[in-house]
Amino acid sequence: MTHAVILTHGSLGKILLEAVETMLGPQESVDVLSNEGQSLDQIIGSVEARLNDSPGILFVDYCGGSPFVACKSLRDRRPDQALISGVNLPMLLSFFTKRARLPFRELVATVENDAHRGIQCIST
Amino acid sequence: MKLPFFRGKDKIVFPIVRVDDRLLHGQVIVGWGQTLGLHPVLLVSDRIGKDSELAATFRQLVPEELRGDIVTVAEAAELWTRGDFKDARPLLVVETPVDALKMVRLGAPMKVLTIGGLHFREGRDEILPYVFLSDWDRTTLRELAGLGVRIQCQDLPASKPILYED
Repeated sequence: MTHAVILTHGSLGKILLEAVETMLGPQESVDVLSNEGQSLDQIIGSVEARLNDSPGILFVDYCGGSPFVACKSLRDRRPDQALISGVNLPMLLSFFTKRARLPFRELVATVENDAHRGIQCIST
Repeated sequence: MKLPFFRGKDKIVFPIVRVDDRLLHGQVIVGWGQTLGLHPVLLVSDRIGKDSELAATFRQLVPEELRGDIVTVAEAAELWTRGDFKDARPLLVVETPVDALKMVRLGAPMKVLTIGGLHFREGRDEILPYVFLSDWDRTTLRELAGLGVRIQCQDLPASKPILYED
């Protein structure tokens, strides 16, 4: 099963997973981390400690924040981990509902696409 | 150790020199840079270097209007002393107090140093939730203070700067 790390500012990741689980029930093989109170090196270390040998997706909240920079840096050693920024509910719902049946590369592309499609603007 | 609130006029002294071991990140780019309209935003580091992967990441991530760049300590001191920061609103980010001290030794007329984030590490004591200092950090800050630099702690523009005194 494709592993997920959700790494965000504050408690965003924890709350997002809570929201996912209210819709889908408890999820396995997912770690939620916060950058709170950690240096860049510590963030990298705590993400790396959560990874197993198989490919996974690193979800971060903001492209340019320390979670993103840390994961991008970590990918030098772990290119098997995909990194997706802008984590939101549609993205995670897509991931958790589709990870069991899609091969890794296809899963990554689908999750990204579904996240984009989850943003709809209704305006006059 | 006293950490009184700084009660002077909280006028920002430019360039802002910030010590932050997360380097360029959300608090710096959005919290300071975009909120206060700062530019250039320079990562001052000999370690990161212009050609590293990390340097490329930072270059790519800093929004264009902040005119982000990565410069060495010597380059930063040079830009400062030759007057490139005059009439500008620059933000310089260093990884450690030592790099700030090096800049001053190279002639940078630094008046204020802001500790924005030095996070927990073995052998560092907590001063504030976002400031942990080692003995080496303290020695360096003492030397900077001796050279006339005011040391303050402040994570975001909206929070009150807290004067650091050894």
